[in-house]
Amino acid sequence: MLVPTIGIEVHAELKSNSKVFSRSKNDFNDEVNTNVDELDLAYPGTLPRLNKEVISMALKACLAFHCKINRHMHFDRKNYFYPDLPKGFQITQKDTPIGYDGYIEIKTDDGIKKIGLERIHIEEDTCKSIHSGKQTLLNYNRAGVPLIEIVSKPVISNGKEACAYLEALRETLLYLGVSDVKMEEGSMRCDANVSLKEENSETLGTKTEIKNIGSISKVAISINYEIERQKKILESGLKVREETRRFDDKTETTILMRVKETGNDYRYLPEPNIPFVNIDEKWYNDVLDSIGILPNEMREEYSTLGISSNNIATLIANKELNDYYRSIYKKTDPIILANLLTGDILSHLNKNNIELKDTHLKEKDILKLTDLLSKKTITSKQGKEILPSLLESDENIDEVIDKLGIKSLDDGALEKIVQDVVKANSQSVNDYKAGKEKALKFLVGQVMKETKGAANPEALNRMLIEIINKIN
Amino acid sequence: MESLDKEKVLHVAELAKLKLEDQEIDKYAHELKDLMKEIDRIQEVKIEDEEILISPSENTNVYNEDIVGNMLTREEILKNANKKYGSYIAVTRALHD
Amino acid sequence: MTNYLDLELKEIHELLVSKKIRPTDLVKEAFLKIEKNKLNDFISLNENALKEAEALGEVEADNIFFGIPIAIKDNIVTKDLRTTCASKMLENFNSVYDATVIEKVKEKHMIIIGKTNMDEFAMGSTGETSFFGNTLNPRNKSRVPGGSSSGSAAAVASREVVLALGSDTGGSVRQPSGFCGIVGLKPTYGSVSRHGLVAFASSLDQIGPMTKNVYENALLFNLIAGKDEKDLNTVENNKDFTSLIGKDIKGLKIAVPNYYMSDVINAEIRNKINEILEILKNKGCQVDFIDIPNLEYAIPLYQVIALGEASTNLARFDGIKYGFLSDQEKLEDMYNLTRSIGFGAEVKRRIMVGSLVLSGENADKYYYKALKLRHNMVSNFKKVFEKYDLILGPTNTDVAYPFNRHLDNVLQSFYDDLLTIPVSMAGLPALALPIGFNHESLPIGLQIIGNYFKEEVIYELASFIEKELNLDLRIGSDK
Repeated sequence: MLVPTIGIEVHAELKSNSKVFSRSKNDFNDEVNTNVDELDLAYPGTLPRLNKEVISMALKACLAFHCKINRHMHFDRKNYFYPDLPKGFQITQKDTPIGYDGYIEIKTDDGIKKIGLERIHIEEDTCKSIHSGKQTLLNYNRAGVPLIEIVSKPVISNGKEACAYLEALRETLLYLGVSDVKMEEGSMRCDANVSLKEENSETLGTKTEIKNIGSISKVAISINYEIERQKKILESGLKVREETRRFDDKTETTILMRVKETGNDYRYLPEPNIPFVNIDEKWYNDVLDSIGILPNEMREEYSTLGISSNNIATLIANKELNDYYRSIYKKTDPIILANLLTGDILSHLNKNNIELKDTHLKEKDILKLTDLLSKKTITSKQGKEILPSLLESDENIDEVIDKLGIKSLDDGALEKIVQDVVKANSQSVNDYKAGKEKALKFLVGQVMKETKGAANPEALNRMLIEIINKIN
Repeated sequence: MESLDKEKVLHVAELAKLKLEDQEIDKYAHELKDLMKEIDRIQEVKIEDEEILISPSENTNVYNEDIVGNMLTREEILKNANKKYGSYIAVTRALHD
Repeated sequence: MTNYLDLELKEIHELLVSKKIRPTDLVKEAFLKIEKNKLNDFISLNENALKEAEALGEVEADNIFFGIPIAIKDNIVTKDLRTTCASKMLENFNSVYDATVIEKVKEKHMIIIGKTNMDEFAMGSTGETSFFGNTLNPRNKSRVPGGSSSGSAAAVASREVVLALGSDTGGSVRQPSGFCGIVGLKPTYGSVSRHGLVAFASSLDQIGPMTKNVYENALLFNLIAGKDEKDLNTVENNKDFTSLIGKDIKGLKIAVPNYYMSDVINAEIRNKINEILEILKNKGCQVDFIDIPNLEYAIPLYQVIALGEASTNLARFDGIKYGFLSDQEKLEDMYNLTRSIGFGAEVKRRIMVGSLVLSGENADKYYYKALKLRHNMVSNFKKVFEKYDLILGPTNTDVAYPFNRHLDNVLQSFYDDLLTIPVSMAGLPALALPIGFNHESLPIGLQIIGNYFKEEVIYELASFIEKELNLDLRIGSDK
């Protein structure tokens, strides 16, 4: 029986201030050809620099993915000619990748699966090319931007697992703060290597490479398609050809780009211009300590706090929201705060296409709102009325409550109204005492009419029952 | 090292992006053979257990802080480029792109 | 014609300070001499030199290098003057930045007279691979000046300039210094920043001072040495390298490798060296003949490492960002033709060898083996320096020979560097010092090899020998 063995290579751009082997600004979204120096252009006589922060960021990722670390590492040159490669070689790490033998855990239908990582290494990015007519146009802003390449072992079984793997990888890098990992912007790129083997065989089948897939969901689709395509070939007795393929969005299939030439001869050699890097105990520990709490731990924590699994997922998926949440959640009711953020507040942000930092929301106000809701001093309906002003204007919550005329009923005022209603509806009181639940609802409705809906239904219910029971 | 045949010479020329005329191929095959014979002599030295030396420099951990340095103006970037297109440096497009 | 440029640096400086001469006088003399000598030692002349000199004339001479004419090898980039590396590939190339050493030269208000001729991309030992034609040896115009720093050596030897900068990868400062009769230093690897030196072999290249005497060489070295954050392999070096000049050399322990005095070396050269060794022994130096293992593998070792590195260093020349372009319909053709037309034959040959030794299984077989051999060579030299202060030998196996000797022999150009290559491999410093002439009046050079970062000891011995011999090295003085 044929079994898929899939490996995934991810390139993630590290968001340091400057590039890895030059001091240019690391931001390839700026105006074309503005973040470039003579090193990026490979001018004669230029020599590489080395950005310490890039190494720290890469180390952080390696530690978060449980890698062994090459404490004594160097860089290598990978030689090939292509217009987007200014020096005619790429500075990368072949012999001594900064991390190796790590793993990422994913949830599968059969439980937790550890996807092994072959290696993680640091390298530089190439130019951005735009193909236009008979020319290619080169933008050197991206040349020299730091990348980490994360290579998994070929142990992924299908598109679903690939998705889970990429989600876990992506959110970890995001939460480590080392990359923006936006596939749509190119700060995270993904290639899949797909092959099939006989179930109990050690030998892997011929693999095809699917390059530059545009989103995580497309990775799953392309992998599943490719598995089927290869299955058909092998089952009809033919051989799979070693190819590079691309995913076509329209047809949702993989399409041949080129047949792989026999062994690219990259003529690797150690980079003589960059001295060895030794990662000592202090550096290692400093970086290890700087790794804050990661998404899976957060999920457990939120679960323990009683937050719904939907809200947990939404929070984790929205780092800005989650960061904000974590800055204040211990000061108030975490469940209600989570509801507010993932519900009405997130809707507001999405509708207006803004981020939390673009709103007028003040910490004091959101905390007070959450407290009021938690103590049931105001109803959730009233909360919904208050929230927009907190987001859109500079008014504080007390001013908003005043302006909207929301009366939060304290127990004293409510009790008086309840007593009045009970007195005025003795028939319904008797009905309820006789066992007619509907009668209670009627009484509740009467109180609500009096309070103009300001009473908290649960508190009101309790109070009515208490007061009625006192009547004999 | 075996004698350098035409195939090998052409393969190396392809790696180095050098175009050889027919008469050059033979000349190069001959010259490279001489040079490789000389280079082969290093196989005589028995030093398998020796460490490798990448550079005579004994420096380690030489790096800079993550601060943006001086960059070129777009004018300077395009100054020496043979083919330009607006703000871009242009080049002949590859067949498979 | 004036002859201020024949004078010692100190004397010129005094004349400038006392305003007996002006910087423009020196520049004019330089240009006149260059025109008269017709050595083809300059690829580009600085057309602004006179203007710069005029501006300096208005200001006080604030340091010993003020207003001094200097020549720069054309593989060191200068913003204001083209840098060609003697290649068609960079025939019209203007760098957007100055090399670190150029910044230092400009800071001291030296006047760059021009960029000197050389072997193409520093690949050669005679100057004959230059796209701009041969440089002639000022001692004897039918002879090669040596290479690859051919023009710098010729310009200093003929006193067209006071000082020059060259570069040395396998002997390219020392060998032409030997052939032209001047003083040239290859510094310890990492002493001088390579930022702005067009790379040939990254782990071997160093920029070196080329001058008419030892003291001025040490002064220029003082200036250019130092840590540079743009070259990660540089090391801090705050010493004054003139500090031991004049000190008594008694007690110095000197080693002479037998390999360096073998039959492959011209007999007249060996005799001259032996004369020097006698003088040193009489002065109280300890002089021993020793064997250093594996020196005979230096040439194949160099070919693997230097050419391997060179093949990748030259990969950036593709006509896209700068340099010569042969524009074609197909990209493959563009690459192939640009590089085949832009590079000369020697460069192409070396790129081919370099690519070959790194290709496929060859990398392990040759390149990594060579890196082990290199480690071994360094260990062997370090052992020698545990017991000795300096190593002595000739700079070259022969004196300056006629042009076209290498025409059909691709190995020969490497064998010229037989004695200089091991030193480069190990990263050690070495100085070429003129010690006399052969029967044809062609200069003979002594090579003084020092321990890592101990150039001051080299200068100590060199200046003693120089003083002792008191040679008149001016062109025509031997007639």
